[in-house]
Amino acid sequence: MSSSSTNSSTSDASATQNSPTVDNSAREQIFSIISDAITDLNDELDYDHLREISNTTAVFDGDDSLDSLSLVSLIVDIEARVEDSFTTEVVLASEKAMSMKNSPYRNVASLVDFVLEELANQKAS
Amino acid sequence: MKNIMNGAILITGARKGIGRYLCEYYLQAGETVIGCSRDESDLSHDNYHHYCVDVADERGVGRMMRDIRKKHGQLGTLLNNAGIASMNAAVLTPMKTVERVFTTNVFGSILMCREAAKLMIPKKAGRIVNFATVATPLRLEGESAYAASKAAIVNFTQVLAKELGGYGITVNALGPTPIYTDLLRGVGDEKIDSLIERQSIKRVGEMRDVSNALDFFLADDSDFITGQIVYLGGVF
Repeated sequence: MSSSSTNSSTSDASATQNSPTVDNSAREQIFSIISDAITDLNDELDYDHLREISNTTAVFDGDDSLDSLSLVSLIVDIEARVEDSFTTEVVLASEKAMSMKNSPYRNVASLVDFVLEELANQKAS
Repeated sequence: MKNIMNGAILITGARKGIGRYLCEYYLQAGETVIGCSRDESDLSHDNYHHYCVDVADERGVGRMMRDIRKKHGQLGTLLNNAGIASMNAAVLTPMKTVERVFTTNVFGSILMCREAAKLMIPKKAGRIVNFATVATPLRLEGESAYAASKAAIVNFTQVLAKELGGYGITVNALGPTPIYTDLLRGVGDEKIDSLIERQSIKRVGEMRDVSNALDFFLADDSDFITGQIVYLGGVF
């Protein structure tokens, strides 16, 4: 993948939230899906940093990362919730996601961006 | 039968042979059974649901799994039975045949495991049983493509067992001896007899041998049994 496409697909919330091309209602819906999924997961994990979810909440990045088992559970849950809400299948654990220079799983904002991008790709295909 | 894992049982290659037998066996035990095969099934039962899908068709399998999630909520067990054999000398086996065998036996099984696991991970429980063959440990001449494809499944089973162990999902494999099914159609008695001679217990396998071993893997109490390959008939 080229560096330019990597940057555009994994940009931070501060940049993408202001983009005129982003459907804000879809973004809010996906944020809500991801936030609910993390909250449900945290019922079990009980991590302090996951009690309040914002765009900058770390998912799989640095000291506050989920462990890999929890990350897989979260991704599977988000895929199912997105599919239920948008009646479109998205695959978030793709080869593309794994090979990105900046992981789309690093925080909530990057995950929202990635879901939006995958939904757009599905519609286009 | 011991108490087995809660949730529906998904059986691939359900239309005939071992798959058909297992559908009827678990229906009789009161389980909800979901079968899939490339063609329609004539099995009719209130607790039986059939999908026409090729196990190697990623989109088709995805559609089926989405439908299962909506209709049944959870999946307790996957019996990855669908498979095709090829009996031919390695130097005479066309690549198209090798591709066909690997597409169903390897890619199809891996795809089904991946998608089934997604339905099991949220409830942190599940049983996956892949189908191996005694042709692999016997290094059976004339079945190189088939034996190699199932050898891949043995290794995949053991890696997947490690990856899914943390989610309470067990992954094992069962390797039947020859059982009189369509897979054996066209195999001469002489060849079957010589194969049976290589088993510790020298008889043709029966369907009940398969369901007996599966009952062990599927039992609630077998939640500490994973990554194991059981060959019937004393083959090792």
